[in-house]
Amino acid sequence: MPDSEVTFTLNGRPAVAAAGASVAVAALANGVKTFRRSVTGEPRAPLCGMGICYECRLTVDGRSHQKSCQITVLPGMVVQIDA
Amino acid sequence: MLERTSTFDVVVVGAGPGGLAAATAATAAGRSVALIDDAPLPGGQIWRHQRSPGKAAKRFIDQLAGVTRFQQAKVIATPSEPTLLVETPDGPRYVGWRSLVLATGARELFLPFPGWTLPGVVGAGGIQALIKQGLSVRGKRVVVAGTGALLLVVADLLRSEGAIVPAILEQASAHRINRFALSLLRTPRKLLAGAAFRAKLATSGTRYATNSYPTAVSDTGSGLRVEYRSGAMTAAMDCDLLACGFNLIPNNELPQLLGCQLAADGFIRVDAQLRSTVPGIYAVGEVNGIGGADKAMIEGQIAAHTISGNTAGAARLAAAHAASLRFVRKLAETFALRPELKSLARPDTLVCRCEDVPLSAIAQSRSGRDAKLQTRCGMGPCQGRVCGPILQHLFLTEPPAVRPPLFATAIGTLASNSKTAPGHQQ
Repeated sequence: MPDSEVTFTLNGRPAVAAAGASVAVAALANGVKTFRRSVTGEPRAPLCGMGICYECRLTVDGRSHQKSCQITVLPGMVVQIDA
Repeated sequence: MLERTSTFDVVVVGAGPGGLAAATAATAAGRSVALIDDAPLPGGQIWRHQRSPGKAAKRFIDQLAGVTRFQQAKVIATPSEPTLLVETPDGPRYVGWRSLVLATGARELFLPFPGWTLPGVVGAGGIQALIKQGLSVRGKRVVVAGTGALLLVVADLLRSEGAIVPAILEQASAHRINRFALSLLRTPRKLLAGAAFRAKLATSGTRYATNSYPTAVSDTGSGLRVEYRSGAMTAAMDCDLLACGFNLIPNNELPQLLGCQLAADGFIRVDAQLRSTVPGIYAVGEVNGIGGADKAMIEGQIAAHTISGNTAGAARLAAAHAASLRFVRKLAETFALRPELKSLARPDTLVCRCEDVPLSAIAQSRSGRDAKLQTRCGMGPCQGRVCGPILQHLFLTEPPAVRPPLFATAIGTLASNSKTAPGHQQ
């Protein structure tokens, strides 16, 4: 595997993202369209890209409600989306 | 549990151009400096670039050797006057300050219109940030909409990344835009940048439509359909993404919590030396007025020189600062929001995305506080950062009062200080 790529786990399956990508971008690049369901069940995805809106929140390494646009994806990271 | 406390001569919050300029100038003057920033790397929104930091950013970052840096760190509360409670990846920390420089920057104003909560509708600055985080937009059709010089920058970035940008929908009138372009004749550097953008767009197949704004967006199954108004005409356009932002608004929550007075438009009141109304607290960059990176860097340096007693150094920058403030006023005049934008939301359009509160539920509220009490509007994880400014724009109400914690936070951080516990009254 080239150094420019990172292997992580997305919803229990191995996934690859560009090194240095945010977790939000890593998820989008792997086909994720819905990051979370709103309180009334609407699909939501990143809006602000800068850690303000919380629409991109998901579970990283067992910690829920993490702002995925503010975290860099790392080798072996476990990302879970419950949408 | 009480965590480590350190006190610094100068604490800077925000590592964008203004914060970096302040931190590097203060450390060069021999002060002990801490720099607190939310992102993984310094640079702020404008210089945030995972592939290579820009030259200007690198120049500052290379001078940060003596600065204590807290990245991915958020100020949660201000438990006592000269101390900040900071949540860091290593746990909560108390950071004490003798002088405090707030360089908290700005965020986009999002306005609600039917469909604005759909996946694929992102901020204009939002898509810029995501591209800088590595998002590929190659081959995607992206409509850019809203207002401001940022739209041109974003469209240019999108095109250089291989996206197709069929149109920029700019709500300002052609008259205002042209007057703005002419006024830039006096600042050749900005004119050159503006002219280069317009020239590139002209050859790129992107239509720069003034007097234009989106009125609704819907999911077509294979993408998005944007309905928009352009002058007297209405039309629709298909795309993959709609990147939409209606000017920048200040991140004024921490300054407010510290007692800094705001101007009527929400920006922090400062004097010519960037002093806020609270002794020892300075505010630099976008948080006191939208003017871009050049203004922020000038202001960061003036604040640091003032703190260090270098009045001559601060005075040398006064003329450049005055020019940047004229540019702030021009931007604000040119891109003032048209009143029609206040009536895009329908009764069932959500205003608060965290708690899914529709316009109809809050239309009766007389203030942000009312809306919060009656509907949970603004009580979700973003703490009203998205819907608070919307309420203010739609109804000209007082925004909900700022209370700690400033961000949704780990319970352990709160537990480390009883004064930040929910329900505590100062």
